[in-house]
Amino acid sequence: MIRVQTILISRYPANLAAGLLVSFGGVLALALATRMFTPTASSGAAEAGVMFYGYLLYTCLSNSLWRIGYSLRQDQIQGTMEGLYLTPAPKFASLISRAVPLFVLTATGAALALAAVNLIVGQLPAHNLGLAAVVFVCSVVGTLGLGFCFAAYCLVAGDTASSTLNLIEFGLLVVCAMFFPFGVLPEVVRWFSRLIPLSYCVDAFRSTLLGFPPGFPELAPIRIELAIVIAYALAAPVLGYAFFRVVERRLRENGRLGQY
Amino acid sequence: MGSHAPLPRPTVRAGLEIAAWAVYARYRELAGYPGWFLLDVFIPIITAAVPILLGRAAGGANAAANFSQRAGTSNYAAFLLIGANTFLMTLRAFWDIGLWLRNEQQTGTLESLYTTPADRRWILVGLAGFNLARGLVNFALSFVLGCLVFSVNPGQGNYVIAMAFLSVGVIPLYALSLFYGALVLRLKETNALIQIAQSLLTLAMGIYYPVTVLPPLARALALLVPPTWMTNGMRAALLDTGYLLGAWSRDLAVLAAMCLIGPPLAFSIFRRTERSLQRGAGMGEF
Repeated sequence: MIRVQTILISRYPANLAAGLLVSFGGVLALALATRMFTPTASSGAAEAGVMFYGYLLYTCLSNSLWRIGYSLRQDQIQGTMEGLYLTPAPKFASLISRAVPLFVLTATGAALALAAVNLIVGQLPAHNLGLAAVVFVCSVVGTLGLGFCFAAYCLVAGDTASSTLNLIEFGLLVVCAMFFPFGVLPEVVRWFSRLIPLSYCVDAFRSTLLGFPPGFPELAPIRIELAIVIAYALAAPVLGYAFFRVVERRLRENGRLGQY
Repeated sequence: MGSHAPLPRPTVRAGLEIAAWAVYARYRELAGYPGWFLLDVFIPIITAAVPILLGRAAGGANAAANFSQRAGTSNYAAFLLIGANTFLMTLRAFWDIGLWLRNEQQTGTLESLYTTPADRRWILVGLAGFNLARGLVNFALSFVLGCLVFSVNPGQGNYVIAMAFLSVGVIPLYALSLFYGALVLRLKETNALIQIAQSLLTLAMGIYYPVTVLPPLARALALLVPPTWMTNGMRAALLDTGYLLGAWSRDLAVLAAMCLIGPPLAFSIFRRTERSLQRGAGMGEF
């Protein structure tokens, strides 16, 4: 099923180019924005690192939320969803396979963006790569759970899901402080940040790569954050998929699975 | 059998009626999704909030002073809000024309429109007019709300000149979006094409920075894009950041020149794309 999704994506070169450029353009603009606020003599590498490493997780979140749900919605509109349900293919594989090829594309775009940011602000700090990789993988796995939940919502809400998704995406961007330190958020917002596991993923990931400078991690000691990240990776996909199956079963029973 | 009398030439009044009906149809279509309107008010605020918060973290107590050295104003919140709002307005122009064309193609109603005697240009004028009105309302609401959120005085600067830049700038902007619409019809890819435009415009328009910080080649390319002049002109008028050619009249003259060149060129390209498609597989193929 990953192969099917890969073929689908590769048949539309404009989509490939768009996927790369979106990663590249957005982060480059933010890197230039960061330079606007740093002293002329300073490179702003540390601040750019805060922005860029949070951006990496943001792209994974965005892929999970958009790709899985949107892809299912397209199947609903095209009428191929019910056909898929007649096959013996596991539903979990059907959901995961929609996001995997895009992660590869996003990784390529992120590599380009990293090169561009390094060109603008100088070498970004990159410490504890092994631990950072573990945190990253756990975070990505955890965001798949969010993707499953949103996919269920897409099946129910139809076209209006996109505006809800935008709100959720932007809300998480701010509350989970993906592009800036948690310290600049008002205390009341930080209170909400502490309730969302993704915040700890963001904080742990960039604190690890920045080499734990003073004040980082910001939300909790790194051991607690790592425990939350791992628990998030284990629980979120299971709970998200369970929610998806409940909604999907309800729609099937009502005969609405193929309706749009 | 007698000869048929030629069809009467369509009048401007008839064209305006067509445009008015296009406005009404688009309004009815979008009225079912009030959430999108609200989203358009909040997205620029969040788009501006990200670099504002990032900048405060990066610059600390000297954030405003550091920003002023590069941008010519310490009022970075208003600077970024103007950029974010003009960016969304630009994106809306691209999305609304391109997406409308593509949706009509996919639902099969585009060919029906082509069989009517209505001049398609008036339909596009109506669509652009509605989207523009919606964009201006969103701009005003979002800018004022953003100023309240970031404690910025929304009433500062020369609004007359700022409005002049906005009013003149939207004409070549919609011409650009029509050109993009022709691309969407030809390539039959909406999301990808608009995302590419979005990425390029993010860099070219200077949403978060003045275009003068870009390398020379990038700056030259950015100056070919009407929204760049529009954004810079509004910032210069409201925040006194400086005009690209030294005076507002010169910058406005460049935008006016784009108004003269843009729409006829865009209509010409659109018409050629239409004819090419009609000779081939037809407008309805998607």
